Amino acid sequence: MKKHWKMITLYILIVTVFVSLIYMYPSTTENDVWEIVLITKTNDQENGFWNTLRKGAEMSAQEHGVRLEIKGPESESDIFEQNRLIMEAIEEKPDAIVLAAADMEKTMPAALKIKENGIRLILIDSGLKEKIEDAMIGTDNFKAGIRMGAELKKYVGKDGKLAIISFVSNAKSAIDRERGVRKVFNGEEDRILETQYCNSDAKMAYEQTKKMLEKNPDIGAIAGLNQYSAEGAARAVVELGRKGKVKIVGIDNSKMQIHYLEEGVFEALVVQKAINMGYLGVEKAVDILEGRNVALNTDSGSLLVNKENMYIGMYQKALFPFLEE
Amino acid sequence: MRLYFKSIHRSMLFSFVILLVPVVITFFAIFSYFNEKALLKNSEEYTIQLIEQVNNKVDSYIDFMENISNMILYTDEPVRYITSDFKNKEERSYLENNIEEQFKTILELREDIYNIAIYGENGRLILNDGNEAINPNIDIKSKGWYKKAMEANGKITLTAAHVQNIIDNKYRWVVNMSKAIVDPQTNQAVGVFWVDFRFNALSNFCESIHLGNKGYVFVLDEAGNLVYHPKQQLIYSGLEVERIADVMNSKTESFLIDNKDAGRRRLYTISRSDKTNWTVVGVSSTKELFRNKEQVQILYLIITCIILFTAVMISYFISKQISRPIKLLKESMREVEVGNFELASPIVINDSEIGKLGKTFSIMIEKIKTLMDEKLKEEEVKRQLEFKALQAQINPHFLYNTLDSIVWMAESGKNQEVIIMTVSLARLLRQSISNESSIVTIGQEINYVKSYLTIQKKRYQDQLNFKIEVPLEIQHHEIVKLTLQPIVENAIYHGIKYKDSKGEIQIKGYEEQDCIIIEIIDDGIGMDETTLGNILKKKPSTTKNGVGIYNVNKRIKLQYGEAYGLHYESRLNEGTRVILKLPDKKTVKVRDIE
Repeated sequence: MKKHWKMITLYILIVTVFVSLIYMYPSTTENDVWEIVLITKTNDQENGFWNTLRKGAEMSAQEHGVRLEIKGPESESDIFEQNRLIMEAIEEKPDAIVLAAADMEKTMPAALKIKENGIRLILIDSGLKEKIEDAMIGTDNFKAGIRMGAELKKYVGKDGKLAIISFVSNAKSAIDRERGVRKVFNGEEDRILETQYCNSDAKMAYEQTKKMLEKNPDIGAIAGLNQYSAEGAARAVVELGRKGKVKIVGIDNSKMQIHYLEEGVFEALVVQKAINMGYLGVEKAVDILEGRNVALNTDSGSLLVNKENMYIGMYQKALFPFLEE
Repeated sequence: MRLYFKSIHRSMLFSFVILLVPVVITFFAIFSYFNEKALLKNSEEYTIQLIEQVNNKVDSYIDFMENISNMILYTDEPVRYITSDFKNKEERSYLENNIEEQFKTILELREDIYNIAIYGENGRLILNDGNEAINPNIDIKSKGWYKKAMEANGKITLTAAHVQNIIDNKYRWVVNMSKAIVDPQTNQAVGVFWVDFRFNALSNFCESIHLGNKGYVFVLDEAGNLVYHPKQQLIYSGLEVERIADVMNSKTESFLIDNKDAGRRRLYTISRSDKTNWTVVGVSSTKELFRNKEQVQILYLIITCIILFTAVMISYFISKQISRPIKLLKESMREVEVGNFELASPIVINDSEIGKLGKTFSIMIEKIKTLMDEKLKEEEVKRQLEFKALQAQINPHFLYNTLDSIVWMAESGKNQEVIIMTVSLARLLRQSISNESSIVTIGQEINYVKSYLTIQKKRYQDQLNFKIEVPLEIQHHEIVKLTLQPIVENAIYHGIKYKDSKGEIQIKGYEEQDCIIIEIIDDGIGMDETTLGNILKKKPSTTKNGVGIYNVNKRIKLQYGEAYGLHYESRLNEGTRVILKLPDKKTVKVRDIE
């Protein structure tokens, strides 16, 4: 009799446990919260591109339920400070670091340290000399350069010269953009003046442009390869009263740039999708951490916006980040 | 496989459990299934209600904005400001100040309003409190919302999210409400009054209802453009896709969409406003709807388990309750089997079938007990009677008389007679001691009587004659020992002895209706009715007459039952007929006497 009673108890117990398991199962598969550090090129609050990128990363962190910490040097050209921040981040032992490399060579050792410490490395915006990252998300800068070049070619005129204001000589994004622009002017390299590097300083870009315009009156068009280069060039053109005569095509979408675009100083802006870059940077990090397949290279896209289409549909959406104040 | 159970209790318990478990589990499954459906329907209805609430809030919000515009446009100041040719500057600045003052008040009260302005076709503009730097590059007339308002000619127009660049260096995403300013004299639209408002009011409405952690509310305009979406930026960036086309094409108030990435369906609930032509959409994840369900499910599961456990417990006790009296009955039966009648009486617990069975069993045991006692008593009586009969058959009187007769015959030289007498006596003695069994064959008994009668005939000389007619067929049937001789003795001593003339004893045997009848007929003096009535009754004092007829009758009845025994018929001075009725039983065991 006792044995029988035991059997029944066991039976009920098994049934209970079994059924419970079925129902409990989905709720027990909760992951730990991933810790991700984002290191930008600059934490300049006036920089529309990086502001927007940070917002994108934050949205992604919220969407995917990860803990995100954002670091960045004051200045985009402060490679040393960025490397220090990378080392600081490694100390914190996050699961992944999302990095926008300030310099494709000088950032290498710090980036290698990230990998050595078993931390996943996701690059955004600008790559490194060697491919050591787990994934790269950024504007296809070569493509963006071609876009700019094609637009510039329309405006440069038959004999006009082209000035290129770049930013950091060793930044991969700068190199690729320049390559893209030059690709369009293939065979007409003599029309392109010596590339200037403004070190991501608008004032320097302004001075360089001013000097060039004074030296070379036959400049028909200027390529501003980042926000600071473009802003500086625009200011110089306006100040010298060459607005409308010297055409500028810039990249990025700071308030000042938009204003110049409305004003007709810029013929067009190539707008990067900073939101997407930040968002995808964190998202891919999560994907990698959770063992999903991620393409090594993801193009976050870019779009050419001009005065006519800037308040229309997708151009408006690309140009003005929808960020509630 | 055949299940074998050692006890009723186990088999009952097993059947209960086998029956209960699937029934309860099936019940649970059906319940859960319908619960899921009901839950979905409930949450559908509930979400529709919530979304309608949001829609009403949006409507009243737009109403409020419209009231502001009515308040501004109620006076003729805006029209005057736009259409007047202003002969003096003071008049213009007076009007400007008035309107700006009103705008300022509104802006101070409403944090959700970015811009409030009037603009005339002729380019006259009053924006907010008049202190804003106007974007020099703006062309208001080319703006979609402006054209729309002009075309609507005095009706409220709403424009979904777009960038407002009226203020220099400010590019804000706003929702726009515009109304054309109509000149009452010409009935022509001369300009537009508009309000740009921020999203926080809408987002507050949309977030005021809770559709779970993954649920949200968004608003579309009549063309399907986003007015507000909590993930507007992600949608604009192409990082999220919203089912706008599905919503716009939907004819029903709600629909389900399978989301492969999320693995669960999403419930879209739609409410369209006639006022704004906007569509408020609520999205909730069924997974979350069912998260509650899962909790409920677990609760059900626990309840089910408790019910199951309780049911099994109860069935254990019920089956035990049922099988306990059976078990007790079984135990008392085993006692009976061993012969232990005293311990055998089962305890009757209740009045159920088993209880009644127990009761009946008790009664049966009582009966058996009394029957056994009776049997024991009968055996005792039989033994005593037999003992008496044995004692009686070699009556010393009879022996003395017989021997006296033999001596007397020997003296008178009747050798032949002496031989017969002596042989008969010897036979008589031998027969009486030779058989220990109380049952003999009729043949044996007849032989015994024959020996006895032969002796008596010699003793009574010519006064006694006898005749025995018992056919051989019935001679092998059984009879109780020492029954015929006492009857014959009785016939001689009480019938023929007192007769003056010669008497005769006749013994006849025959079969009749499944029994054997032996008649002993004498032609002696017979009996009167009283004697006849008492002949078979017990007469303890009359021992001198041998064993007595009572003894014989009693022994036959004890052996064969009440249906058998002696029957006396007699008439005074004519004789007596004794009818001995025996069962038709052939004895096998009794050995014949040589």
